[in-house]
Amino acid sequence: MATSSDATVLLHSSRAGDRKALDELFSLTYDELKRAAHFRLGRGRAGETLNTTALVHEVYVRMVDQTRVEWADRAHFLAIASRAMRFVLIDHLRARSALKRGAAEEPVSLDSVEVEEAGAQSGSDLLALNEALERLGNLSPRLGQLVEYRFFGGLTHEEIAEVMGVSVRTVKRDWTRARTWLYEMLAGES
Amino acid sequence: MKNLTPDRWQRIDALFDAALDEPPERRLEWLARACEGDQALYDAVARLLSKVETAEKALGESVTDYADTLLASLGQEMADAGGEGDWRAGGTTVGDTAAEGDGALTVAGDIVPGGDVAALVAGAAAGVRVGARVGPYRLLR
Repeated sequence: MATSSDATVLLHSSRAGDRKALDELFSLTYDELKRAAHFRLGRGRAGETLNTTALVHEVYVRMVDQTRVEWADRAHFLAIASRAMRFVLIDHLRARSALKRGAAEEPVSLDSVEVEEAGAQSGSDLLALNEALERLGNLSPRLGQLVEYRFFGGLTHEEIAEVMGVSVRTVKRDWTRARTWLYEMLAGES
Repeated sequence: MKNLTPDRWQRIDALFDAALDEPPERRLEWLARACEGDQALYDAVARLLSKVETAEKALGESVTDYADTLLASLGQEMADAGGEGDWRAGGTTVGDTAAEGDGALTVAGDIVPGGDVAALVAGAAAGVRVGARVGPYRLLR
């Protein structure tokens, strides 16, 4: 992994608008999340659930030099890590799905999914949610980002407000809208 | 509401957003006035308003709420899957793993046998340059 110094420099550069630094930091964070998932869950902790919020915060502590960052830097990193967490999960589910289906993998269709109040029962349910999120993000990039931060990264309303430059009240309102739209899209009505 | 165009979506979403400002018991009355006779628009927004609480129950606050059972099984899968593959690691991180594993290792930092890493055998050795790919490896505590 990159040292905490490397990641901290990339974090500062990406906040200043350096796209290359952002991409590199995302890539490093993606790798580190996979590593953290492996080692956190692989030490004889059979049955332990994958806690995405804990993983996102764990990689922050491991990757970023805490003495050289401000609150806004932290929120910015957590936002990047939330997106990486989404891709770690979805990539894993896609790989698993491909393995089960062999070479003839078919894309998940929202039309074939019944949204359950009990939550996701299978990888297909989560892949369908991801597809709905893609669609929502195309209609509203802002709502799409917010879902990544809140749903996949477990960021607080305050952290999201910092990243997005809006009030906490707006975050709460947008989250309600985004979640309802996602549900509606999953239910196949939108 | 299939085949929503971006314009149509924005119109529905703007009314949905504004309606949430109203007290729950007055939302439909407010919406009817705002839609000015556009029944399809009214129906679309009213449907969303009726799903706010259901969506909250179904999706929760995070993927951990929504997919807890699935994530429990994924946890073990990801733990098992992580032992092989192309890994980037620095000296201190390798030491942190405190685990054994076979796979390929890309050295991203100086490795000091006997220092950060107690033992790194079958591939890596003192003097391995940063960025070199070594493996298979076995990490020992």
